[in-house]
Amino acid sequence: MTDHNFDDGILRRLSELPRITQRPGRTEVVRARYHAALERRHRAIERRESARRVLEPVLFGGFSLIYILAVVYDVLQWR
Amino acid sequence: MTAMDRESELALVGRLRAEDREAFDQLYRAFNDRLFGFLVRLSGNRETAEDLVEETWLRVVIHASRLRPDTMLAPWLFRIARNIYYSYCRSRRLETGLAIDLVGLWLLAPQLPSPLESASASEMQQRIESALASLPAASREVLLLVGVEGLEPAEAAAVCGITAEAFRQRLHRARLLLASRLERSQSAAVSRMSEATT
Repeated sequence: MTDHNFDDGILRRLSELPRITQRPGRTEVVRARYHAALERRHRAIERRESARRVLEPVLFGGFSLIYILAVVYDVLQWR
Repeated sequence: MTAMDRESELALVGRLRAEDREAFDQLYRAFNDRLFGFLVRLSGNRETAEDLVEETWLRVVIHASRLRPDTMLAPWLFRIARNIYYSYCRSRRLETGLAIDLVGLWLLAPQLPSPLESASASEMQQRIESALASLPAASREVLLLVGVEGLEPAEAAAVCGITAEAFRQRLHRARLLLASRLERSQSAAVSRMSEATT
């Protein structure tokens, strides 16, 4: 038997090792936890999105108002 | 991933990036047992592996949206699991070269033809498990990734974060080390048997 064959034999034996499985109850617990984590992420994204939806027009409107007021003030100063 | 071609894998990656819950379930069904087995054999402890595999899935949820569209899922998942294991060892200053009693890990083998063959196969498998557990973590992980999990050497090298050439050398050394440990355990078994018969 060559070294190569011996090595292949080792990998073959390793591939034949039995699968180790998790307890079914534990599997469900893990699934429930990552579902919860996923839900938290979705909620966080929704919160960020809704905050952006509110803040964007408020900030845009606010800056526009300041700009317009500044222009009006300048015009009144010139007169 | 057992029966998933590259096209389906890429479609799944797309759905994971969109954080589709069904996609996570599909990934979980395909990989949970493999990741768990990998972590049990890497850590040498079922309870630890249960915690680590849970942490792995939580990490998957956090990082899935940042996946590259061409990601290969098996190496990505095993890399997360491996990194979590090493972080766990660092946090507890654990020696990663474990030599443990694997009786607790021993589960039913797949169907075997006869009780006699079953007994001898199980004994051989137990010897392999023990020899594997006695190796340093770096050797153990390369053998687990290629031999048990069937990853291609290039994929396994990516999991370990080393070059393909460095991986090939590490795999070669690990095979030799495992072979020598198996040989040693075989001679010990033979001498025990001869002592018992005399």
